[in-house]
Amino acid sequence: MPIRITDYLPREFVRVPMAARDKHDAIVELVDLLARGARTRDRDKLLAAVLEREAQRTTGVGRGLAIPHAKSDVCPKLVVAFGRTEEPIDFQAIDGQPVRLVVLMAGPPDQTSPHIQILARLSRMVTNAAVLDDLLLAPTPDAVYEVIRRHDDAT
Amino acid sequence: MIPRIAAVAAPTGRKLEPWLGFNMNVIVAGTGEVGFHIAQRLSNEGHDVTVIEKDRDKEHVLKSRLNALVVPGSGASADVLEQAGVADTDLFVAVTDQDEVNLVASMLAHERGARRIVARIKSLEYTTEEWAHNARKLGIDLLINPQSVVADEIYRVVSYPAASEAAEFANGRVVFLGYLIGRNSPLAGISLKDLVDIRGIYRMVITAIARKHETIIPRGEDVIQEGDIVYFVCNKQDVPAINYLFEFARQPLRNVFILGGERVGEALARKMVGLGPRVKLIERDAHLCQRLAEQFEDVTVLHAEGTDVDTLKHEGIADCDTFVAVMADEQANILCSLLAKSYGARRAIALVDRHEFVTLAPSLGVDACVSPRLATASAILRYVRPRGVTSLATVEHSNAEVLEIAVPAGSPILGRPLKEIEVPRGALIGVIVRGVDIVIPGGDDHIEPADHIIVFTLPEAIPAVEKFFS
Repeated sequence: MPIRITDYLPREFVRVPMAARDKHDAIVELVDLLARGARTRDRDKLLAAVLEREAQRTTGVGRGLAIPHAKSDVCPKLVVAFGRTEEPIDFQAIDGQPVRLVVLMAGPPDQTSPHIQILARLSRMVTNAAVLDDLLLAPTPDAVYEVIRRHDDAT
Repeated sequence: MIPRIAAVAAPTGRKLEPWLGFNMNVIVAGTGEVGFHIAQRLSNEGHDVTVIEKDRDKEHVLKSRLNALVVPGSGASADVLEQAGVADTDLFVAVTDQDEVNLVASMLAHERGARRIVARIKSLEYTTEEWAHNARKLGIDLLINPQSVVADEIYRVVSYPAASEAAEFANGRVVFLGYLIGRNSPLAGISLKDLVDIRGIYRMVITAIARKHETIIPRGEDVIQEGDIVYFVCNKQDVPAINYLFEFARQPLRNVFILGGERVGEALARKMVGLGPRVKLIERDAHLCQRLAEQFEDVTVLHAEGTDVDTLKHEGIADCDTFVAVMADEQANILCSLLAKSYGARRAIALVDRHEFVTLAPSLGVDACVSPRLATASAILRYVRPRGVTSLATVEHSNAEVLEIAVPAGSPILGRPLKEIEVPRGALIGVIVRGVDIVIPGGDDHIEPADHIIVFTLPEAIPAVEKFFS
């Protein structure tokens, strides 16, 4: 049974469109989304952890997707937030392409295995050109969520 | 996709096809651990090997276990060298027990026409700058000192905490690392396919997995298991991010204990002080302690046995990051390492030379073993590789090798997508070094002139690999 993105991504954690216009603000916006949803005990600590990891090496995986992530005790459970920016932003991605899809992942250190699997699954998802198009074109947060859910069901 | 290949540890006596153009006449004088290992490796790779051994009782064993001509006698005898065919020798390796015999044998071999000469010299007196000059006069191309080689090797393993294997390539920009997957490792249960999918942000190539007694080159559907040793290559700059997600890293190095103050321990202590941690050197011999204490300002020298638990506890073994046991007795090194771990040392490295123990020690809880025999042999083998191979590391469990190869201009593989190139079975291209860039290659990438490639190869594929990329 393959791991499902939507098991970790609540419908209300899809943000389309995002207000952010650069990399830093995009990360802050999604961390705040988790904080407001009570998925972290310490918003500042989580933000610091994500930025610290991002400083080691970019999480722009290519094809317009970035997956900033962190492991921290301030998140009791592994959780995913999904955002799409209005305009492409620079994420210093590996392929040099700007990014519109920003997926934040945060979880406790003892849930790193599913963390790795979700990272892989998200990276794989955008290699499917049809799914990538749907993610970029879906008009509402609900429609984006449905694209991801259908992808979970299909693979 | 490269098919799965299994290698049994330490293949013996199997004659492989000679590699065209590289077939050498080799003489190895002395068949102790190092000489035997080198003779075995080179004859397995198809070279014509002659060994010289003065102990006639060993002759029968050598004949049965080595694919080599055995000439009885001393390497320092001109007659014996003639009998071994020294005039037509591409490589002469002097690795008897005695330094002076190795020096005389090398000199005689040089006079009689041997083309390249390597000598092992145990005494540090012969490793000074002045001696390097003398060695050249005697015709020796490479002087190998096992203590220095092994101290270098341990230093490298210590500077990559938690790695059971560590080697650097491309002038230190690319690293090859091996890690034991423990029960709580986040990699246990992860498939290779998942790791390939996240190569965009976790830029590493898994080149092999050692599982029980075999080493496999994994395929996408293979899943990493607890107890595996996972080997990968990556850009050194990516090590912190990789450590972050996969949790290979431990605390920065603060407290190091070295057990054994003889040559290796002394050389290691000198190197470690430069790295920054507090170093405590434990030695049972009072006179040696006295001399070490006078020599080192920044090292605490303790006069004690490695089994002296009270002293270990009193000196803070509970806060020890890395415990290194480098006494002459390898079994004591294993036991004292385990003892230190049981009292709180987080990592233990043991100097272990017998192949059986090198294989056994990790399963007991020793985190890494360094073998003078393998370290010396691999330093010598590194030297005898054909042109184009600039750097090499030998993986202890399997005799697999990692090679840095400069693909020559005009090679038919240049410019072709990697998915169209049939790399020999049992080998895998890790990364491509292109100028300042380190490329993690996919199937559509290709090798350009002036690139270096880092290639992992199982022992049986080595001749094919060297031929393929030359």
